[in-house]
Amino acid sequence: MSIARRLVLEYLHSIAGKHLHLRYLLSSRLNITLEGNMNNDCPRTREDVEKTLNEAKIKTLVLNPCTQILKFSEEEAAYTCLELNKELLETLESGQCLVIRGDKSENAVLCTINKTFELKDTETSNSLLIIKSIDNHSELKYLQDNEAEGRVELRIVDKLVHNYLEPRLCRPHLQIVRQLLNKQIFKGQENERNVNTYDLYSFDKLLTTVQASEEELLKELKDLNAIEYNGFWRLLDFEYHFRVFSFITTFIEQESIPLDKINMEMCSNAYEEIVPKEIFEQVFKYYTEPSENMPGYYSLNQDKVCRMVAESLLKDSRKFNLDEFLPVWQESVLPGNIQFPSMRLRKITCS
Amino acid sequence: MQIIINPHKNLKIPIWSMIELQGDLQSNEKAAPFHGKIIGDLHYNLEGEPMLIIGHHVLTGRVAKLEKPLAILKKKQKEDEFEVTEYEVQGMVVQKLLFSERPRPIVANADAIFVK
Repeated sequence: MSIARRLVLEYLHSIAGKHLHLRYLLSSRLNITLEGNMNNDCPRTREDVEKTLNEAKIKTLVLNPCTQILKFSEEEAAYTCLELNKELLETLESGQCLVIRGDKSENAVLCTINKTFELKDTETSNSLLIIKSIDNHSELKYLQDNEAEGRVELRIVDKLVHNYLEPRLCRPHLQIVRQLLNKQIFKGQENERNVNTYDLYSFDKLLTTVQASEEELLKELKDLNAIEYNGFWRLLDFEYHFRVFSFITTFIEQESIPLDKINMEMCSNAYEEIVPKEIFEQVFKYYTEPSENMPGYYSLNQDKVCRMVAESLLKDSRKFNLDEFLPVWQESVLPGNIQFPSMRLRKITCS
Repeated sequence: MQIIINPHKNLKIPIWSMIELQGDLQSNEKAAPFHGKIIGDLHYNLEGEPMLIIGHHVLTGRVAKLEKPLAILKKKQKEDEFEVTEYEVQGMVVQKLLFSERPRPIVANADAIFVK
């Protein structure tokens, strides 16, 4: 389809030495009043245009009497072209920014608040002339009624491009999140003095490295069971996590609290000397759901509790015979109160 | 690293235009080839079809709607190197004047049209 054709650009007038004393009426409509255009005298006159048409054997009768003269700007504008899909257009027109994320060595991605797009640099062999505004036929037609004779107007071409950026929806690159958070796993307040703040990541700092949208990043942090502490996102050391978990289950057992009426405040207060409230509550919320029966209270998520117990039992032993494991597991979980159907077992062991 | 693309200050992106030529533009001058040069005359016939006269070629084209709009971004001047790089949306092209037909050459008369 695209055969490279050479069109030779010729000067039709030499600008130097020619005194352009003719000024042409520019449109009074707002979107044509370009400061750039106002300052430039139109380099071609009505006569010039008609002469060219004559040579081309084109009758002016069949043409709209308004002619637009195209001219390149004095300085090339530093423009980049980006193709917009529906999401990107909606994001911009609602006043939100788009963010390009990545390292210099990586391929750039473009992010909205909840989606990530790969950016491809697309090249075309065609020449694309970017112009702030060109009247289309219907606009010119309207003007025509006011004019006695044909008008000639200058239009500045800001840039000629062959490339534009094409976004394509992609999966966010989230593998790095765990890597970054592994640098300083939270092992307890006592250990914090050994921690180098340089290796800690706030949400904003993560966004400068992770090629993902904010919502996708947040979801990944939640999936990793990371918690936010003092403005930084941390992974909890397993031992520490299990300790907090044990506090929660112990509390429920000791106070004989119904499993769907747990008061988070009371629970976290009981241990606030040992575990910072911020951490306690996030772990608490992982193992519970807002109670349906009693608003303001929480219900224990039994699946997650069972899973945690299983994990801690399996963690240290390399091999565990299923037959031996099951009863041990059952006993380790809160006795009596928790339903322990075999269905749940299968579901959890399979994961 | 993050690069911000800011929305247009009016939120609604102004409509810009584009002309697509199948081929390249070439200039006589080697240095700063295009700056300030006249490209040609743009006409419309009474049916609304665009016609472009570049040099001694007549190109006929049509108005074509872009499949997806093309945003024109301008890089913002940074005051210091530590600032985040920002771009601003200047406009959006939704339709183009596409000239993809073979151009018709103008056979010049004895009176040369080139004024050097």
